[in-house]
Amino acid sequence: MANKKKRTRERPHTAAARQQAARGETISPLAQVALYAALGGAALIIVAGSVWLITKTFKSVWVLLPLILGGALLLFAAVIHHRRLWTALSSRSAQHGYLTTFTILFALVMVVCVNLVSYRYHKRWDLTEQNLFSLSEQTMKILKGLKKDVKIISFAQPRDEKSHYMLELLEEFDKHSDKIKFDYVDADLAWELAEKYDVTGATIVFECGDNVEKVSAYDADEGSYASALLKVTRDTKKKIYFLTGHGEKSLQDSDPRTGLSYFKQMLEHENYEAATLNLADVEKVPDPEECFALVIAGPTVPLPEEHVKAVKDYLNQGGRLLAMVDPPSQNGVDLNAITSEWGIETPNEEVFDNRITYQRDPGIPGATAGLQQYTSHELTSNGNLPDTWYPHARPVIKTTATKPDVQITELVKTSSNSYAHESQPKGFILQETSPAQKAETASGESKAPAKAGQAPPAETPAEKYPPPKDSDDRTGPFPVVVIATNEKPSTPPPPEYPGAPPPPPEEKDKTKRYTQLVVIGDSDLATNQHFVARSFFGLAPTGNANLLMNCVAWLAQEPELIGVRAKEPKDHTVALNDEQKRKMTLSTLILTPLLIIVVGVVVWWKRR
Amino acid sequence: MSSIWAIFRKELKTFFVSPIAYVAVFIFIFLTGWMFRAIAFQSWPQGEGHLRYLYGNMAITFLFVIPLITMRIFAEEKSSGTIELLMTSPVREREVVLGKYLACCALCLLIVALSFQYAFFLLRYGKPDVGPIFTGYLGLFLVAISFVSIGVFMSTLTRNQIVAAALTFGTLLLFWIMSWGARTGDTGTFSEVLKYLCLYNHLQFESDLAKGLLDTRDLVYFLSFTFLWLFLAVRSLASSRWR
Repeated sequence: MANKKKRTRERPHTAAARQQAARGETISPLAQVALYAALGGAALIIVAGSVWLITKTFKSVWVLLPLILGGALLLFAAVIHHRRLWTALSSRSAQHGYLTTFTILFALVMVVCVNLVSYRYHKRWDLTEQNLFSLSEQTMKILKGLKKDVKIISFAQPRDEKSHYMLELLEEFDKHSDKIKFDYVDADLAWELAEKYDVTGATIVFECGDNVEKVSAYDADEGSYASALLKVTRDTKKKIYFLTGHGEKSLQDSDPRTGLSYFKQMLEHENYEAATLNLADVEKVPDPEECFALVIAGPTVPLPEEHVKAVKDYLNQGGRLLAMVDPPSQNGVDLNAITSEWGIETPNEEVFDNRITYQRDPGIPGATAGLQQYTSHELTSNGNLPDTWYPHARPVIKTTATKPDVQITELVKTSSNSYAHESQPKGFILQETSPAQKAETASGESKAPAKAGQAPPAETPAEKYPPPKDSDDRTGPFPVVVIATNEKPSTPPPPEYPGAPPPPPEEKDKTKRYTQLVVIGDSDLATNQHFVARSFFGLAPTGNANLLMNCVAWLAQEPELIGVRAKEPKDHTVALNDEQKRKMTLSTLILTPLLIIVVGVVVWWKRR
Repeated sequence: MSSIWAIFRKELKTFFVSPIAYVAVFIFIFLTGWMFRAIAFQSWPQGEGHLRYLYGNMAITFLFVIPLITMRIFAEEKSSGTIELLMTSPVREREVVLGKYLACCALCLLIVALSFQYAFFLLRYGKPDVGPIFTGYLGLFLVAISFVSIGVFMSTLTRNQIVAAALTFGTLLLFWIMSWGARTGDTGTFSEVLKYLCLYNHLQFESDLAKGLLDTRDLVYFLSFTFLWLFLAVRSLASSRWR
C-alpha cells in the first residue's frame, strides 16, 4: 500500500486565500498576517483622520501615533504582497479605472472652471416690462455725466435678498462708469478705515475729494445712491423758489390731497434747495443766477399787477418758470397775464375724458405712452414716460407769442375722447338756463329760474358730475403740458462736401441766458397722493413725479437729471369672479387630470 | 445621430405604453393644480398677479415625480438582461445615454406644457408682466432636465429600480436643501459655494429667474450641472465593459 501523503490543508480565512486555494495554491501564515495588518493599518489611518477632523491639528499624539502605526502596517502588507499588488495595479481593468477616474476629475475641474468664470463675468437681461431690476434712465445719465472720480465703499454685508440686490446695484454703478471705484470692506478688519469715515453700522460711503456722503446700506434704494453721487460731486445746490401769498399749495403741507412735501423731498434728494418766495416781502424775483427756477403751484387768488410785473421782469432776464394752474371749479386762477406774451394761455375750461383716465374718473384725464399722448422730447423720455394724470385740469393752448424767437412745444395731450367744458367757480351756475331747465319751463312747471351767483338748487345740471358734453364744448385732444423757450434748437452746420461725416454741433454760448416756461393745466398732479405710490422698494415716484422733476431739471439746466427715475411697478391685481374661479378649478383639477387618466386607459385597453 | 434618434423614439414609445408615465404626469398635474388654485385665489386679488410662488413648488413636485420617470431607464434593462444586447450593438455609450435622456426630457417638456394653462389663466384674467412668466417656465424646464440627468446616472448604477429611484430622490433632495448648510448671513466662500450649488436658490421666489431676470450664470449652472451628470452616466455605462 503506497503511503499516501496526507496534505493537511488549512481552511482559508480570507477571500484572497480562498481564491488561492481554488487555484491550488497555499497561502502562507506570513501572507495571512500581512492581510490582517493591511486591514488594521487602514482602520488606524481612518481613526487618525477622524481625530484630525475634530482637533484640527497634526501635533496631537492621537493623530500621529495611529497615522504612523497605520502607515507602517500598510507598508508591511504592501511589501509582503508586492507581487500580487503589482499584478492588480497593472491589470487591464485597473488601467481602465485610472483612465475613468482621470477623465471624471478632468471633467469636474472643467465644469468648476467654467462656473467660476461665468460667476465673475456674466450678463443679465431684465425681461420685466418696466426694467424693474435695471438701473433707471436717470441713474445711467448721472453715471455717464460724472466728471470727478468717486470712491464707494461698502461696510455692509448682504443680510437678505433686498440688501443683496442693493449691493449688486452698486456693482452695476461701478460697471457703467469708469469714474467710480467700488469696494467691499470688512468693518471688523479695516477698523482704521471705519474710524476715518466714522462708520458704526452697515453703511455705504461715497467719497469725492473732500466731500463724503454716507447712506444706510439696508434702508436705501437706487434713488438714495444716485442722490449721494450728486451730493458728493457737486459743490453747490441750485435754488428752486416756490411763490407764495396767492393761495398756492405749500411745500410744508404733508396732507395727501393738498401738500407738496414729497415734491420738496424729491427736490432735496436731487440736490436742489427748495425755498419759498413771497413778493409782498421782496421787491423782485431773485436773479436767474440765484433763482434757477420759479414755481407757481396752483394760485387761487389773482396776482396783483406788481407781482405779475416782477415775474415778467424775471422771465425777461432769462428766468425759468414752472406754472401750474387749476380750473375755476377748483378755485384756480389763470396766469395768462404772464404767459400769454410767450404764446401760452389757459382758458377757463375743464377737461373731461371718457377714455384715458385715472381710476375711471372722467375728471382726471390721463396720458399713457402706449397711445402716443406724449410728444417725443427729452422731458417725456422720448415718449416713454410712465403714465401721468391730471386731476381737474385746464387745457393749455398755443397762441401767438409777442416775444421773438419763441419755440412752443405741446408735450402731453389728453385723448381724442376728451372734451373741454366751461368751468365756473364752485357754487356758481351758468347765466343761461340749461336745456333741462328750459324743458321744465316749457312743460309749465312753475319753478323760478336760478339767478347767477346763487347756490344752485339740487336738481340743476351744474351739480352733475361729470357735466355732460354740450354742443358748445370743444372736442379733444387737448394739451395739458406745454413748454416754451426762446433758445433756438442747435442745428448742425452743413458738411464740407457731399458724403463728408457730419461736423460736431456748435457749442452753446453758456453766458447767454434763455427764458424757459413750463405751463401745466393742473397743480393737483404735484400733491403728495399723486406724487408717490407704494412699490416693492417702498415709496416710489409716480409718472407725475417723473414729469415734474424732468421739468425742474430742464429749467435748472441739469440735463443729466432728465430721465425716468424709479420704476414704479404696475398694479397686477387680478380680481376673479365666481365663474372664473369655477373655470380654473374645472380645468386644473378635473379636466386635465381626467384627460391623462382617459388617455392612459385607452392606451392600456388597446394593448390588452 | 440616427442611433440617438432611434433610441429616443423607442424610449418615448416605451414611456407611453407603460403606466408609470401616466401616474407621474397625473400626480404632477393634480398637485400643481391644487397649489395653483390656492395661490391664485389668495394672492392674485392682493396685487400679486404672478406665478412666482408656483415655480419653486412645481420644482418640489418634480423631486418626487422625476425619480419615477428615470428609475427604469437603465435599471430595467440591466435586470432584464437587454443591456448586453444594447451594449454589443454598434452604438456608443454616449449615444445610448443621450437618446434615453432626451426621451425623459421630452416627457418633462410635455408635463411642463400641461402646466402652461396656469399662465394662460393669468394672461386671460389679468394683465401680468410676461417677462417673468417666460423666465420662470424656462427655469422650471432647466430644473427638470437637471433632475433627469441625476436620475439617468443613478439608474446606471443598479439593476434594482427601487434603489435607483431612492438614490435619485436622495441626491435631488440633497441638492435642493444644500444651502441649509450655510449659516444665515454668512458670506464666506464655503457658504457662497453651497448657495450656488443649491438648485432651490435658482428658482425660488426671490431668484432671478422667478423675477424676470435672465442671467448667464443660471444658464451656465444648469447646463454644466446636466453635462456633468450625463458624463458620469456615460462613464458608468462604459465601465461595465471592463469591470
